[in-house]
Amino acid sequence: MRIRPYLAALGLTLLAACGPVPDKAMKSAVEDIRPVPAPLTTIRSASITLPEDNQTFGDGPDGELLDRSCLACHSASMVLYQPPLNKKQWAATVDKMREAYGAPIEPKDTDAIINALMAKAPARR
Amino acid sequence: MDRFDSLLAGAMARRRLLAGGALGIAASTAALAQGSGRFIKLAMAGGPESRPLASDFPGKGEMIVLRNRPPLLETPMSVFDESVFTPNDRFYVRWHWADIPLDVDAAAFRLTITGGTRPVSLSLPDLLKLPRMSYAAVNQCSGNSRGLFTPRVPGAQWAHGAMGNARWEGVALKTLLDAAGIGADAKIVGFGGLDRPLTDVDPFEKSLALNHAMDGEVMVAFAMNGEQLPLLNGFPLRLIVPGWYSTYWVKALNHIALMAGPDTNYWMAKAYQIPDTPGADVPPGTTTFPKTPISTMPPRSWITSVADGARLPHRPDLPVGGIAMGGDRGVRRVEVSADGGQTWRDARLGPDEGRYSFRRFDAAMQLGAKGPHALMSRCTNADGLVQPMKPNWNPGGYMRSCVETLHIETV
Repeated sequence: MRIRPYLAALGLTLLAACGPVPDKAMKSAVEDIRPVPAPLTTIRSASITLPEDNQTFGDGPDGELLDRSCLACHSASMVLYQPPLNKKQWAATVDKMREAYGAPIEPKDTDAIINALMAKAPARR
Repeated sequence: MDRFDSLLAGAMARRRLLAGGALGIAASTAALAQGSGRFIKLAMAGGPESRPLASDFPGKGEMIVLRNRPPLLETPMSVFDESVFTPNDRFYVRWHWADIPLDVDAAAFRLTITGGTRPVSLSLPDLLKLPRMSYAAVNQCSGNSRGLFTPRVPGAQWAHGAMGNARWEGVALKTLLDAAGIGADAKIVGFGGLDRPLTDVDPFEKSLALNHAMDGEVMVAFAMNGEQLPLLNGFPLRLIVPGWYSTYWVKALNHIALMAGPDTNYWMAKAYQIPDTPGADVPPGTTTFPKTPISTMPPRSWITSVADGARLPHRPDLPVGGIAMGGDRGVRRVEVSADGGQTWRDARLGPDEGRYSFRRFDAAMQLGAKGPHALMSRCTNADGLVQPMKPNWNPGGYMRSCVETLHIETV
């Protein structure tokens, strides 16, 4: 599926024949015709370090409970960017985390976690 | 201390660094954001709408940070206006499990294939010697645009930037499966990568029907836009399933298995399930319905030359440009509307980079009088499938593909 030079030239000819062309349009269409990259010849080892993530759920028992229950597997932002969820929806999310994803949540803590989410995360009361 | 404990200890240690910080939600999403200190507003009903922008993820330019660990990085819409090919350093990132590959030794890496008539183990130099293929294809998250669902649904709150288009280069999966030898009882092909859950649950693995895996198009890619894959996008190998949602494009692919099936892994049997209805659409609030694993992508299009909410000097003919995708078929047609979808006119299509690629479109919007305008684009793919006006809804927030509206004002 390479764009061969003659096809590219044909495309330009057709565009040029279409009458008044918005400045931006013509420019972008031309820029989109790019040569196919050269085949890859070697693959080198790769190593990266992710930026620090220091975000927590804040002080107090609710924050500490959420830090303990959530942060081992994912950042706090995953919770804090959710839409406002009602108690039933947060409960379903906690169940999914425990049952499907093996979150380190004691069954006895489930209600407290749901209440903490209602207090600390976007919630519809 | 096992791996889980050490990760947990790491998270706690990071938290202790912040001793004394009394943080409400607003403070914690804003003040502690990574990176540049810049923010972007994503229009999502009910919020939260503000997201940090960061350029400190290795190999990445400025990205919208939905989540640091494991990373969820969204591509800003302005990137799609630059080219139909998304640069590797702006390509979105999505990982499920906390333990993602951050250090891969190219010499030690092996891709294994089991379940065939003979076991196969290939080094990266082995793969580079095999016959190659190359094509452009859009990679789009199943939940792209989830944040725009109405009513809102839980999950990663993407706007439209959980997608990208690249030229992939690699070896046809068929070539590798032929080398392994396909036994009489093989019905499906499973794929697994280097990422691992921290808990005792199913790893992230996906599968395809054997005839799909053998179609000659599904690829094991080692290059993306002419370079080796970034670690965050699946180095050293990624499965490319053109026309299908990204959940099948297994990253850091190191194991392929021919199997009799059915696949009972969580990620095939329970997750990424959509309503078995046209457009994956059910009435909002519906929780029980016949389900099926998500698969092919429908057509979509976006105007990218103008930002939502922009105020511009008035002109009767406003030039606009954007990108369209046909899904699992090519783009046949793109139309635009400047009056909220009452009247449509054809846009001009840019060069065809292949049926699975983004395709540029350009048009002049006829705006009439000064004031507010609702700009739309609508793609028809080569099968005649047209983007619907009505948004779909399902509880997973999957497969949004309706006509999108940009609200602008000319003055």
